[in-house]
Amino acid sequence: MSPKRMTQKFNLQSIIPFLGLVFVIVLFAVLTNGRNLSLSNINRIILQSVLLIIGSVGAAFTIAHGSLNFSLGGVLGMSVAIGGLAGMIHPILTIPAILIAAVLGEVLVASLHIALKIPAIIVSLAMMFITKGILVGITQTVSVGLSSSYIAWDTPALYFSVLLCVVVIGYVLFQFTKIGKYNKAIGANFTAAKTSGVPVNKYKILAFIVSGFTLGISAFLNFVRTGGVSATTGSGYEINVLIALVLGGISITGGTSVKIRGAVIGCLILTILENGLVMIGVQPAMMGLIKGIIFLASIALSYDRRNGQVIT
Amino acid sequence: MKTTRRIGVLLLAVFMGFGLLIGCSNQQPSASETPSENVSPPAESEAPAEPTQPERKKVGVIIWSTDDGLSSAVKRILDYAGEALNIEVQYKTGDFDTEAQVKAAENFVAAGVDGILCVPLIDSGIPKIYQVCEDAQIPYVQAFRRIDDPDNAAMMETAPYFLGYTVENEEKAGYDLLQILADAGGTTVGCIYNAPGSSFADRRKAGIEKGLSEGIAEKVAEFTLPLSPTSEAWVESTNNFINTYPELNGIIMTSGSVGGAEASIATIMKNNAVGKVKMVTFDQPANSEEAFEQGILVGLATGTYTDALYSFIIMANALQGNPLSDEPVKIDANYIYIKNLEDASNYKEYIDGEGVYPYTQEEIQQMTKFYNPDFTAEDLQEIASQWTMEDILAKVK
Repeated sequence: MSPKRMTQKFNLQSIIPFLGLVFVIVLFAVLTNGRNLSLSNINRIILQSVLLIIGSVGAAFTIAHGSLNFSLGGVLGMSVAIGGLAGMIHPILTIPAILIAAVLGEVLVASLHIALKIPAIIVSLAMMFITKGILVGITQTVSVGLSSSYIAWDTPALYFSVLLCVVVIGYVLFQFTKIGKYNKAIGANFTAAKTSGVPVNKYKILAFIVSGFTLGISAFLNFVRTGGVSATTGSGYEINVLIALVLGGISITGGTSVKIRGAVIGCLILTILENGLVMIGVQPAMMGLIKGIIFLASIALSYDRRNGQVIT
Repeated sequence: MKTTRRIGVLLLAVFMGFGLLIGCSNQQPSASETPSENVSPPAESEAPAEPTQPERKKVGVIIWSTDDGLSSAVKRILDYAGEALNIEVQYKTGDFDTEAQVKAAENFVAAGVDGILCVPLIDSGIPKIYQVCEDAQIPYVQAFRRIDDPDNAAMMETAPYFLGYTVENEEKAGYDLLQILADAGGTTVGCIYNAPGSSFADRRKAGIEKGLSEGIAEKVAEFTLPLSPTSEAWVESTNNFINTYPELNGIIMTSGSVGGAEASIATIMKNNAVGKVKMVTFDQPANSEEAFEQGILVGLATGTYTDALYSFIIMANALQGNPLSDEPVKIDANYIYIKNLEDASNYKEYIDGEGVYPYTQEEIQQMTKFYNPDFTAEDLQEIASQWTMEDILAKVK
């Protein structure tokens, strides 16, 4: 490929997510007569996207090396339940319990993937069932609610400041440290990375640790936002993360196309889409269809056919 | 060239999506934006005419689905009542997580709804969903759910925008259904229960277990459905029951939705267990009449779609400026029990068939103070109490 063509390809792929974001904003501005651009609605959209962005920033690290992770929703729900149980002993234990549970859940996925040489997508599917079983077991046995100490934490200021911290730190880690660079290298070309001396397994595990940590943060904020946990907490979260990452121009095969800004943009597109579809009164039956079409179009653009492996 | 093709794919999808959105958009202009037709300003000496219908309002409904037997009936009756009362009804479905329900409420507020009717997933989520309504200063009413947590219940009792709820006695219904099964000969039973965590299903199970503990029937097998079950789960469990427990002669389930009841009926037939294994369930399978005729089904607890209607009436009165009460209104709704083919036929003809509505639009209008100034919350409870097979047949025949 000529340098000029490579440059064109690079620029186009970089700007398509931005164009997509601008498009949905303008589209729903037209369809809602500008109501979607009110200050209250913008605040609402950012608030609604917080949990998804935080989880997606972490998921970007694992998808960078090519691991599709379907355990996110199950681990999130399980972590909330464990944190709630710990909070019943003492409220101060809630946050560490959630973070530890989430990180351990993801480390287990990574460890099994590496040790048993089973594709991460398969291990994560199994973990999804395991963690959902744990969640159901806990919620069936005990009524778990948010400690009253945290009720006052349910403020936009908390969500926005946590979001900012996660995005900034995630960006720095991903762009300027070995965790991000090596995971992208592994996703771009596993063999080349390995023969270059990249400790592949170590950095894969680190990616899952980062993902677990952000998932734990998202789980805690979910707990604060909803006030409780049920057998369905976290349901569908991994699908929404996947859709958001793809909408953000991130290839599901990983590599250098993975960018933190893509995760953020994709989450905003998805949230604006859901918000806008309700605002214009689209019937529920059509919402899934529309989301599916847009997802398919996005993946058609972003899928790296040269690598072409979904299961790695 | 490849890039051009990709852009073409994207643009095509975008325009398809755009076209879909335009076509599927249900956006109505607000009352202030809609120019009135054929309106002439009243003469100064004339008193303003009384409005013939209430001001147009919009209600957002957060519900698990609008596709299965019960929820499609709910949608049908709410749309019908909305027509009668000049209320636009918008639905948000598929939210199986409390956070998603909170988000749905927020998006409904953004869409400019005047009130929210919600079927909440869990008790602890209710204050959060309600808070969205209170912040937007719009009323909130629940259907199919009470508030179990005493702290939440106490808080909601004095919440300024909480209108109340309608709910059935699920535990009694579970108990009654087991009794119906036992009376029909199903005394050695297998139980198919929903995944724990859903309050309505947990109560139904509690009622069944209470009946079992009192010796109404003997349980020999139990199966818990997965969280988002497909009909495969009912096939699997029914197959296992029949083939593993030869003494089993009855099956009871806490839910037959998403095709589950139909799947179990088909499985009983495939195993040549017709006449040997009898079945009772909640919800209404599509082939209930045939199943009653063959003796597979001996009992159904169904007909609760009017639960949502009564909650809608509570909301409609509030939106019309005539709340039924200064305190939250709590309506106890009934199940309708179907025990034989005649009941099933009557149910389909008079209660829940295509184009069949339990009340006329005039009757629905009479449930609001706008049309019937003497209507009270007690009157609404009376109407709900008369929701039985006997009362309905007496009314229509």
